[in-house]
Amino acid sequence: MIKSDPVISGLGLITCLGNDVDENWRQLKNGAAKISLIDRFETEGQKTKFAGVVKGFDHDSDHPLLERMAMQVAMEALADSNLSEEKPIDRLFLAVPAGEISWQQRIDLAKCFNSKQLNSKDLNDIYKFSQQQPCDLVKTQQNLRIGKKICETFGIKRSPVLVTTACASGASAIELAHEAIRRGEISRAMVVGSDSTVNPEGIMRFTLLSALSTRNDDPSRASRPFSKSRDGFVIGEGAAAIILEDGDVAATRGANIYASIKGCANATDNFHRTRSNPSGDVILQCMKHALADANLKPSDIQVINAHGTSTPENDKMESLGISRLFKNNSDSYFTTSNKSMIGHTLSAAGAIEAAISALMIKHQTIVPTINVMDECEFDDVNLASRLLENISINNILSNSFGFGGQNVSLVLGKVHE
Amino acid sequence: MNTGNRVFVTGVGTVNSAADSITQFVGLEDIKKPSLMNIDQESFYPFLVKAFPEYNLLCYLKKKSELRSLGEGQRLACFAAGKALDSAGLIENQPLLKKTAIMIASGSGERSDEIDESIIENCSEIGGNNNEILNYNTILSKLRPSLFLTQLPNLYAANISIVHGVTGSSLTFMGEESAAVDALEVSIQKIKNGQEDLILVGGAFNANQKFLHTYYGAANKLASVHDVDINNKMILGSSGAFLVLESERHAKSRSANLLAEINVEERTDYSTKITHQLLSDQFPNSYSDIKDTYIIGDLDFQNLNTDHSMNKYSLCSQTLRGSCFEAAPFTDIIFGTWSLVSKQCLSTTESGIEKHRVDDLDKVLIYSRTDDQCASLISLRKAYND
Repeated sequence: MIKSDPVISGLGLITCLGNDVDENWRQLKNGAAKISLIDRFETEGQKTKFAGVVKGFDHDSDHPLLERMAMQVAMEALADSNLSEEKPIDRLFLAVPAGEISWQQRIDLAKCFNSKQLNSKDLNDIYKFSQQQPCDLVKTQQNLRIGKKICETFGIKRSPVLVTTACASGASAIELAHEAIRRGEISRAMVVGSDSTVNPEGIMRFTLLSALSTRNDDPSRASRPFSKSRDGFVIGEGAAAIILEDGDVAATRGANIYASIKGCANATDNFHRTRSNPSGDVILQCMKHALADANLKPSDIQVINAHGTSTPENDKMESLGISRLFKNNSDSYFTTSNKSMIGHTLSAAGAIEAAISALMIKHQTIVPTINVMDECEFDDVNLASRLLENISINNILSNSFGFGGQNVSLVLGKVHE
Repeated sequence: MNTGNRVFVTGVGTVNSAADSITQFVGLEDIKKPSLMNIDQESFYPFLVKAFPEYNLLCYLKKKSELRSLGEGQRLACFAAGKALDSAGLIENQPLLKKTAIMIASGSGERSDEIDESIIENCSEIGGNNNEILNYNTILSKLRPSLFLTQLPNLYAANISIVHGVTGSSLTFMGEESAAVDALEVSIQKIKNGQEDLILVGGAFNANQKFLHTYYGAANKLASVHDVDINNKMILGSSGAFLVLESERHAKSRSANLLAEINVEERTDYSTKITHQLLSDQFPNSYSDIKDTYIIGDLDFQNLNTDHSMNKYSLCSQTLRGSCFEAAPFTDIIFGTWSLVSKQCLSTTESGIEKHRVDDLDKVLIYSRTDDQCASLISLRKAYND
């Protein structure tokens, strides 16, 4: 007997568009433009002064935004899935940025030492300090803590799996969970992606790589995937949680199913540390392998939820890959990029965009790519520049690419009742 | 579907402070009688760190200039990965490298202490309220565009892919020792399930970073020159450690040298506190195995004495290699593989570490734990090349 595909039976979502699934879906359908100037910290001197910022989370130094968003989406997804304590989640797959010592944490340490007339650069002073009042000054393992907290709160017994493949992390976490269910190791997984890189250091880092849009005079129209005048991506904050269940197990309990995950693949490009091979070969290979894993042909795909970052390079390479895969049959599918509305949510992007793909399948609706300012540079992507409702969607191909040559493609499909 | 494929270690490579001389095999053959030797008191005074051996990555680089794009941890990862690929006979075997997957455990990338410290110095109003102003123009002019790239944990995998041409699927796991066991467990499952035939799996940890000593030091977790008793303190030690794992069918078809058969035997529930618990309580299913096997890992000597009076030989490996988090389980697996292949074992006793001849050794257990949260038991069994 052929086992049915793993299915999505619960969702939680936070982006700059809203703090739950319903509000996000409403705003996505509206083509909302919510990218705005940053007012949380001083941006004077930064080349980029705007981002996709989440609202309604007050500053709380004990509970960083990253952690609070992860907890909130996990709670929403679990409630949405209608799972009870007797039907626990077997394992958590978590995609978050690396827990490292940031400038802010160094500033906090320097302030703390200043008040004691110690020098935070001097290890002898560090030693003196530790003898007086040892203190875990830095949440070095912030990401481990988030995993621990979700597991403890929601009764997940096995250790959390934390995965990072840069901007493809969310999709990699889904791929890992999907495989574990397919192999029969687990029957229920929670995938959480969360990212809050809108801080001075995060913006500075991407500025160094010339990756960000600098359209400070027009933030809400800065993210314009596939448009000729695109000038870089816009950082977005956000989180998504997805409950992924063995298809038969979910059907037996009568779960509300959004979509199935029919196939996943990843491919490594060792052309360059940040740039992809100009041939588009590896992107093409990745999408092909995902289709093969799902046992589908290109003509079975109605929607491509593109990585579509709005950087000159990504959109060029991705459209090249798409046109090679579909061999110029561009009237058979639509491409859309959620990043036009929510920005690039980095480690969380793969999970957030998979959640949006699941909603598009459930509602048989394609949400628009906004800010198509001038002619789309690439004919073959067939960009959905307005809302398309009552469209028959059987399968969506969702792409996520990351620095370090990481490429991940997922195929989500409609579940026939 | 589990095809019942057995998984073998067919290559190992490491560079760590216990291996003071790197040989063609694992870098353990010339080991001197190890004890609490190899301590560097100067580099991060007053904190102790494991002294690190010299190694030469240039033998694996096409251009010398490539060195500049690599952080220190990435260099030792590339070197250890190269040694592993070498010992598995894969170096420059393009068709096989193309399909070799990479699974890496790495907690964070690397940062420049010098740049970070100068940025904080340029930050006005430290000591005031919450209005620190970072002077962005000063900062920008100081930073290289590529600085960002050593900070990403998945760039270890990317650099190995670029340096050695390994381009199969690629994943990076975070979260100290348990990330290493995740990488290992996923690798073994993928091979057993027939998804992959060849996987390069491992981890790297660079202890030569001041911020690590700053923050672990402030938390009073590090051993210092002032300590009389360092039993409950850490000494950080750099390590890069990689294994080549291979399906039985694939290994035999290319007549690869089987070094050991590998399995993850048991992992504790995340919710179980494991401090002061006997190993036999942590792993009830493996009790009989534990009591009469050579065991290596993050054990404390106390635990060995109470739990392992039946064990003839056990090794508290952190006294050898230092604390190296994500790289620790892989380093210990390589110690264990060396024991199976060379029929020698290192054993912790009250007076230090002794080396013994073990002609009939056919199994080694590796114990790994992340703080007091979760623990894992990995097994290595003697492999027979027919």
